[in-house]
Formats: sequence, structure tokens, C-alpha cells
Amino acid sequence: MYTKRFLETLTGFVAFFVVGLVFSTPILVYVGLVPLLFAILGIVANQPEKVILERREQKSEMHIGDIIEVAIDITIKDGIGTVLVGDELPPHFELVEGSNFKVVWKGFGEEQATIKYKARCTKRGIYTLENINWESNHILNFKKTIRGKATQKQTLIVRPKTLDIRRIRNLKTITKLPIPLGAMNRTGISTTDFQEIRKYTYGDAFRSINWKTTARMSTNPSWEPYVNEYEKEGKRMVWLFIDGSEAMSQPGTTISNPFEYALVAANDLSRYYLERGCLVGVYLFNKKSRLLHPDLGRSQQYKIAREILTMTMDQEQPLRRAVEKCRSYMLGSNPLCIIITTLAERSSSHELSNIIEGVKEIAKYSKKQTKNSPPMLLINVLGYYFVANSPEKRMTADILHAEENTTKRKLRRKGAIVVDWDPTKEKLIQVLLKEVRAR
Amino acid sequence: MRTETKNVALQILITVSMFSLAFYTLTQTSLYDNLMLQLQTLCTRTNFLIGYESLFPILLTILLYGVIVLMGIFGGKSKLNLVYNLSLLLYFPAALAFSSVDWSAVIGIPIPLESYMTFSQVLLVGIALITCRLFLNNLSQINEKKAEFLRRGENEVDDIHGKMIVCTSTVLGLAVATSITAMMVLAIGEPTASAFLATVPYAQILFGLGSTFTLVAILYYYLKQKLPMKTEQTK
Repeated sequence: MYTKRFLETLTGFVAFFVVGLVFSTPILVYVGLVPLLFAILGIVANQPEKVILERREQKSEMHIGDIIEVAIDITIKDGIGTVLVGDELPPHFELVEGSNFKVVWKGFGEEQATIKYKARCTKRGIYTLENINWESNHILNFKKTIRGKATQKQTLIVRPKTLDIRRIRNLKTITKLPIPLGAMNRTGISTTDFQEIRKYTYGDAFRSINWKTTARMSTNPSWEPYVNEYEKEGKRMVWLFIDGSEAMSQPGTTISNPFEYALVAANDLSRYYLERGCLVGVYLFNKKSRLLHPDLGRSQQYKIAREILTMTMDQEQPLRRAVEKCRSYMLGSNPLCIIITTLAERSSSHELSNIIEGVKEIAKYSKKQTKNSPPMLLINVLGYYFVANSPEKRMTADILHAEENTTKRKLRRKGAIVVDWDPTKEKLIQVLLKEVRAR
Repeated sequence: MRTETKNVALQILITVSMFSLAFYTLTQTSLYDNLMLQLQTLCTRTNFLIGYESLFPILLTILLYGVIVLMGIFGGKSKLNLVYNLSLLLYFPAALAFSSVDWSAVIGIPIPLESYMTFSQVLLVGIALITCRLFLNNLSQINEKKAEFLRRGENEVDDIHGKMIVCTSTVLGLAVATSITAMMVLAIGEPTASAFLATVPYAQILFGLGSTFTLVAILYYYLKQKLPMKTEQTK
């Protein structure tokens, strides 16, 4: 209970007392009284023991990069001395303002203080703000430090940032990408969502003819009526294949790496397609693979968002195997498949061939709907730019990414559209819009 | 002035004052006079520094202060202890001068050990020395705490540092005041107390106290052994 310092003070008294007695010198005995009384008065003053810590309520959901404000009320009821309070921040939280550590001086009477700080959430996930640690020190350091912990559990859900993928409303645009207008299903009940104006084909209902456009285009020698096309309800299917192999952790940091951005992209693409009535299925391909069956609506959106929060990287699983596992859902539905991966840091040609084989496998289940409508899209997250913080390093990253061109060519030959995405420079929507051309 | 500079200045001031007090106490003893005399005799015999005898006290003072400066520079973490121990060593002859035993005769030195200061003055110097020592010890501990707080991320520590110093000084002041009061009470009440103490039956008191202590110890030991067993039974 008592510290070495207390014993040292008492030793001072004992030394004076003994020397005083041995040499029969009353002065030394009297002088020895000072350390004795100092020690006694010191231990009479207790250090604080009743420390009450209360965490104030705060928002429980946020997005990556959002700032959370934490406030903790401290009440110290007894004792004299210093109380050190520290709030345990979960991993991946960055202190932005203030400090999560505070020293409070407790004099006579009740002491109240508040810890306030701001922290930024840097990675998606479900976090818990739980333990608030405190330490109470004796004023003269005569007693051992008392340590305590207040458990005030508060769960924080950090969702990936939304990339704001919007539908393109301009009618005079066409795209090679399936993002704004693609992935159409030719059957099913028409919705009221206008999709495009196209030339009349045999079997189209007369009521779908757009008479104004037809009249305007009547000067054309190869005159044909034009019809309004509306989006079909329901059955369009989109498959998102997220690469969860350990190769996705490099290049980059634990916070900013291709895997994290792959999840961000998956979250937003799934939201985009679900809002348009598509069936969306997600498959994270690695050794601990995770499959979310294709489904519609808000519940699926919630499920995907929740799953994304807890997805982690693991050993590689070939994309081909992942496609085979989803085969029963893909057969006959002509789905749009989106593969989100990185071609960087693939140390062996075996890893690259796994992706190419997977793309070949997908091509079996997805037919090209039109000449410009591809069956699959591969989003290549350009990872080297995460660590390129100077113009020279960016040039190096350019060169390193240029090495992926051969693989990309092979993938394109197999029918995939390869989109390079540098998250440090542009948003996913900007990349996707690059492929949009004026009609 | 920065707080750190103030602290260092305060530490140096207290250390030098403590040492000066102890040195002054030494100079007020017959031992010091004899030491000077011996030095002069030695110089006369060896024909060294003849005519500069009056400078010996100054030379000794410079030498001792030089020693504490060197201790301050090269003493490392224990420099305060070294200065304190040296001060006690210088103070010791004055305290010994008030001993009920003639130590110079016991040791066999033909010089009587005397102090030109009064009992109360020597006592107050002793109290001042121990007070300085305790204060310096606590001050260095408080400074360490401050450095620890800063290292752990707390920036506003000056206020807390000040309060810690005030609080420590208050406790120390109380201890000193209580000691002095106790000594004064003892000095005033000594004759009455002596008369009373002469009538006290020491043998009975010693026997009674011894028996009571033994009984309390046995009871405490018995209860300590018994209590956990009882708890287990209730479980």
C-alpha cells in the first residue's frame, strides 16, 4: 500500500533518532521529528478513490472521415491529489482536436471536469467506445497509485463513404459502360422510369411511339418511327465480386488500401442498382468467402452495408471458384457482373491468371445484350497512388501501373471492360463517366 | 520567466542556502577554529604559503563551494543527495557539541568540541536542513510528474504543478510547525514533566504494555485466521 518514498521518509526519521540516541544528541532526535510528522500528515491525506465518469450521448452512425465529438464528465468526490483520466480510443480513430487524456487536480471539496475531444473515423467497421481509465495519485506519492476503469459502452457504426453515383438524365448520351444505362432486362413489366428513345422494332406497342421525335426525324431518308423505352421491373441482376485476398492490402496502409476502396465502391454500386430495382448479389472471394444472395430492396441494401462493415481480407480464392459457387443464381438471368479488384502487387502470374480465368468463367453466363453493352465490368483500384505523396512518386506509380497493361489487354479480349480507378485523385463516378460519349 | 527555469532557480537557491547554513554552523564551532590553526601550523612547518594564513577561510569556502558546483555538474541524479549529505556532515559537529557525552574526550582528541551558537539556533538550522531536503525531494518528484503528464498528452499542467507545490509545501510547513510547537511545549513543560516522570513506575508500565500488546497480537492473529473460514462456511 505504501510506497518506497514513504519508507524513505520514515528511514530519515529513524536515522536521525538512532544517531541522536547513539551520540546522546537531543538536537538530532528533535530534527528527526520533522520527517516523522511529514510522513504522518502525508498518509492522513488520502488520494481520491471515488471517481465517477460519464460519457455523454453522441451519434452512433457515421461515415469514414466524419468527426465524432466525445465528451466525458468527471466527478471526483473524495481525497486530495491528481486524477488522470484517459479514454480508450478504438483502433483506426485519429485524434483531431483536444486530448483524450486529462489530468485533474482534486483539492478540498467536490471536483468536476470534462474531457472533450474530436476524433476522425478512418476505417469502416463496428467500433465500441468502452473503457475510460483513471489513475489517482497520492499528493506526496506515499501511497500506491489507484487505478480504475469505468465501462460506458457505446457502439459506433462507421460506414464507407458514399460516392454519390447518379443516374445520367441527359438523353443525348450513350455509354460503353453498364453503369448509367446498361444492365437492362428485356422482359418484365415496364415501370414509369424513362430509359431511352430507340427505333421502332417489330412487336412494339403503338402507344409507345414517341410522335414528336418521329415527326422531327421524318426528314431522314431511312425514316422509322421512334418509341419510348421504359425500364423493366425487377428481374435485372447485378453481381458484385469483391476481391478479398491479401494482395488487396498492398500497396497502401491499413486505413487506405485497395480493399477499403473496393468495399466503398461495392457499397455504392449496390445502392445504385438496388435503388433501380435490380437484384443485387455480393460475393467476397477469399478463403473465408462470403456470399450474399441476390435480393431486392432496402433490406438487401441494409444487409450489404452491414456485411461490408465486417468484411476482412484473407488468403486468396480463385475468382473462377467464386463464379462457380454463384452459378445457380447466374444461370439464365444474364447478370451484369462487376469485379472489384486490383491488378497491382500480384506477385505471380498465377494470381493474374486466376482473375483472367474468372473473367472467362463469367463470360459463360453473361451474354452481350447489344454491341455496346458489355457483360462485365472490372474496376481496377490503382493502389500505388496511395503511397505516392510527391510528383516523383506519382511518376513511379504511373510506371508501375503501366506494367498492368498486358493483363488489362487480356481481360478486355475476354469481354471485360477494365476501368482504372485512382481514389486519391477522382471519385468513382468521374471514372465511370469518362466512358460516356455524346450521341 | 519559464516555469522550468523558475524551478531550476528555486532548486539551486534552496540547495545553496542549505549548504551555506550548514557551513556557517561549522564555522561557529571550536573544531573549525582548530582546523584553521592546524593549517597555519602546517604551513609554518613546511614554509608553504607563509603570510597568506588569513586567506585560509576564504580558500576553504571556495573549495567547499567548488565541490558542490562539481557535484551539481557531475553528480547526476543523486546530486541533491550528495549536497545534502555534505551539508549534514558539516552540521554534525555543531549538533555533537550539545551531546551529553564529551565525544572529543571519548575519541581522544585534545580539543574540546564547542559551538558558539545556542541550542535553539543549532536546532533551527537542523530543522531548516531537513525541511530543505524534504522540499527538494518532493519538488523533483513533482517535476517528474509534470514531465510525465506532458509526455502523456496533457498540455495544461502549469496550474496543476503550482497546486501540487503549494499542497506539498503546506504539508511540510504543518510538519515543521508541529515539530517546533512540540519542542517548545517540551522545553516549557520539561521541569514539570521531569517531576512527574520521576514518580512513574516504569517496570509496571513496561510489563502492562508488553502484555497488552501480546494479547492484541494474539487476538488479531486469531481473528485473521478465523474470518475467512467463516466466509467459506456461509458460501
